[in-house]
Amino acid sequence: MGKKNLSDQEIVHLLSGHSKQENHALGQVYARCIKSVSHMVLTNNGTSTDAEDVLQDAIIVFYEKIKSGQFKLRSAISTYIYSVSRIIWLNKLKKNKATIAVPEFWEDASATTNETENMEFYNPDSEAFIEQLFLNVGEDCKRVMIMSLYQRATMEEIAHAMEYKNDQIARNKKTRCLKRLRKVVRETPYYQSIIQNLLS
Amino acid sequence: MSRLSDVELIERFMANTLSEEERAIFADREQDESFKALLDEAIVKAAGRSALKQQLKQISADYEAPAVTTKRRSIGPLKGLLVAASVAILGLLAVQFFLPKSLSSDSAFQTYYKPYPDITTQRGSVDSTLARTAMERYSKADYVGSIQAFEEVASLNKLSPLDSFYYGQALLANQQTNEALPFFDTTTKHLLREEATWYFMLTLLKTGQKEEAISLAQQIADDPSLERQQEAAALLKKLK
Repeated sequence: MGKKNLSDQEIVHLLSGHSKQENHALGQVYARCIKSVSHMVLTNNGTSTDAEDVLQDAIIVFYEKIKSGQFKLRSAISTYIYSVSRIIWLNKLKKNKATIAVPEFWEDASATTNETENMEFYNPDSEAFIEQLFLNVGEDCKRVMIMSLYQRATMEEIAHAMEYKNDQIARNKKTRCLKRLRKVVRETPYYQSIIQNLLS
Repeated sequence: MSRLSDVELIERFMANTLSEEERAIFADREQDESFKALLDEAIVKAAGRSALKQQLKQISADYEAPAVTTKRRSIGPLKGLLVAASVAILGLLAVQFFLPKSLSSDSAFQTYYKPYPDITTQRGSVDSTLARTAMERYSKADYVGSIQAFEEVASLNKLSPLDSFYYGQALLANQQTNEALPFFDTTTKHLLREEATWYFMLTLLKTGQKEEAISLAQQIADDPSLERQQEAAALLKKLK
């Protein structure tokens, strides 16, 4: 059975909460934007892989804006994502400016787009370190902490998703998991090697 | 060297790109409880971002290669032919007699799109020489020249709502539809807001975003105060 097409308002609503339809909403955002973002990247020295990567990062920015309650639906979602994608691609071009020319008017566009101020991007360089940490923290803890600190789910929502009896159990679990994470981070040889600086 | 913020310090820590000097600063900051809490939160956030990235990669993979395998019932060859023939005939009948003739997005765009006239010359509302050059070229249907001039305007100043609108128009007329989209600001307080919305909707049609275009056309058609109301209603009939 085909899934229902969602309006922009429905997408924002679904992503604001902790809905099981979140993946469906993200899929629709992706499908609506891939053509225009691909065109923009492909006509500006990029490849289709670059375009996918840029769009994924733009959707992450969009998702985080929604989760933090900062997103206002003032234009179509596709327009917002397109603007963010443009800034992301501009930043990537700037990083490679030795080999690729950056269109001048993009520079100005990035400087005047309020929506993309203070935007943080996904950093693949930290992925290996993070993966390693969470191997030692455990999958349940990872889920609880991500739901609470990244997806901003309430304790009731976490208790429901994790099938805990009540929100107090979710709260206790989160506290224990954060303690565990802190311990795991501080025990890594990498962390220890940095802290040695202070002691030596 | 300018001092890094705590967030930058933590980002570099996670990416293992701290310099010797920064490692010392990091070690020093780690004595602070608020920094510790910030580090824990940043790590969880990075994990969340990483999980979401994986989810989106999967969506991307699914989008590129949609599943084509479907369960089929086994039916005899003659029965199969009869079913196929019946479906084809019914389909043809439906198309011929029952369904209203609907326009494709592209045809609808071609039918309703006209480059917006240059109203700035009469009003004298363009406030820079460069923008005036862009508009002069636009009036002469020199859209490539107009785009180049608007690019220069944009590189020097933030575009005014009027410049932005005509920049979008020039791009659209030059068939750079994807680039045109962001320049039609449907939220502007400028008088051209209605026209910006109309052209934004047409550009969505042209870029194949039919559902969004229909939703926007419906908004215009529902508002009796808008001059484009009837045109939008007529367009909707042809699209549906």
